Amino acid sequence: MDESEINEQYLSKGRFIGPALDLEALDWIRERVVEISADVLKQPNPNDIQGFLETIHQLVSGAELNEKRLEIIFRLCDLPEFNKKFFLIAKQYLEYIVGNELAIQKRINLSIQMPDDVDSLLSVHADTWSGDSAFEAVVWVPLVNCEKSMSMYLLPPDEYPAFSKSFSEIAKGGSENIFSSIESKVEWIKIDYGQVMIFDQTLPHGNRVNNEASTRWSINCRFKAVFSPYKDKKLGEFFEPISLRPASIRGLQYEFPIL
Amino acid sequence: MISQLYGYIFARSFQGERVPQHVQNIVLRDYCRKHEKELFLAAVEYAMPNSFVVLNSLIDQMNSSTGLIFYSLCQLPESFEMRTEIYQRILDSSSAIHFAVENCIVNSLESAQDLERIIQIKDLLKIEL
Repeated sequence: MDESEINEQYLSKGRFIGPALDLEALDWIRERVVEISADVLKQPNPNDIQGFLETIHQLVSGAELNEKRLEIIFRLCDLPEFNKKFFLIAKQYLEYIVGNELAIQKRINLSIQMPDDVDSLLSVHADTWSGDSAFEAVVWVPLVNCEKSMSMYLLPPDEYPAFSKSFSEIAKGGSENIFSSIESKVEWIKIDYGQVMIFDQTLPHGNRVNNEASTRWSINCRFKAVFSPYKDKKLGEFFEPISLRPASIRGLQYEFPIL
Repeated sequence: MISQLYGYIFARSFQGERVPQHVQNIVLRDYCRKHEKELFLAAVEYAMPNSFVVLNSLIDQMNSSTGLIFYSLCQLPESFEMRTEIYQRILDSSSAIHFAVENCIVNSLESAQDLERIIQIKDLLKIEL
């Protein structure tokens, strides 16, 4: 797939889905997630990685889940190679879609959405509504195959102008009302392990109760062009540079000759 | 007795101040620990100027065993009428609003009046400056 096809898909659908660009890095990430999760849940390290992830709801209750999830994230973020490996999964795509000098979110997010769990829902939102810059894109990596209610939904860009126009009215009814207004228009993302999605977080998205039989595991992380505008999520606090080109490194070091 | 508090933080600056969201969350957690309250994950108000959509949605969920906790009273609407409506809805549902930075609570008409006095003085000083 060439650059123009990738960019066209992102612009027309609000997201790009393609094969992970470094399968070794993706497998490494999934193995670490499983190792750490098994340890947090006091389980032996499983041989069947996919089975362990998809049936985690048999080992942990909805009430315990968030605390365990946060502990897993904390330990993943402590791995010095983690962000670099994550970046490699989508590096070339990001360079086409976002830019070739990038900042990465310092701490990744891990979603675990168990069947019928009503406590882990992410109601309809755009990240820009809670302080993200409109110049950011999200890399969304499933650790299991995802479809239907096990996955996430996204409002396509061509539906956004009408949504925006009616927002002040529908928002008065709260997030359920917002979702009802776009329910018939959203795309439910179908994506398998081994693929990666980059999506436009300015578009309304979220998830619903997982009515499928398996638990969803996915990792998401925001990227932006390092020299593009920031909003409430600042460089240093929330983002850190992950790729800088030599001219920028020289530019950052430059000083006028001393008079 | 209110034992559970729903966090409420901002993604935009308020009264000329900006506080990173993770810092607002730390302050909420510290307040709840000291006051022995259970804290629910903080809801982030929309970044659009003058939005109180998230706040209004939270108030709809309040009852006599749940309350709200703001990072600061400076996150209340600037409009006196809007603030009055918020206090009224909170008191009507036998709930309460806590303000972590100022360590104060609105859980009665009197406490709402006390808070309004502070806000009026702050507004006056802002104009004088």
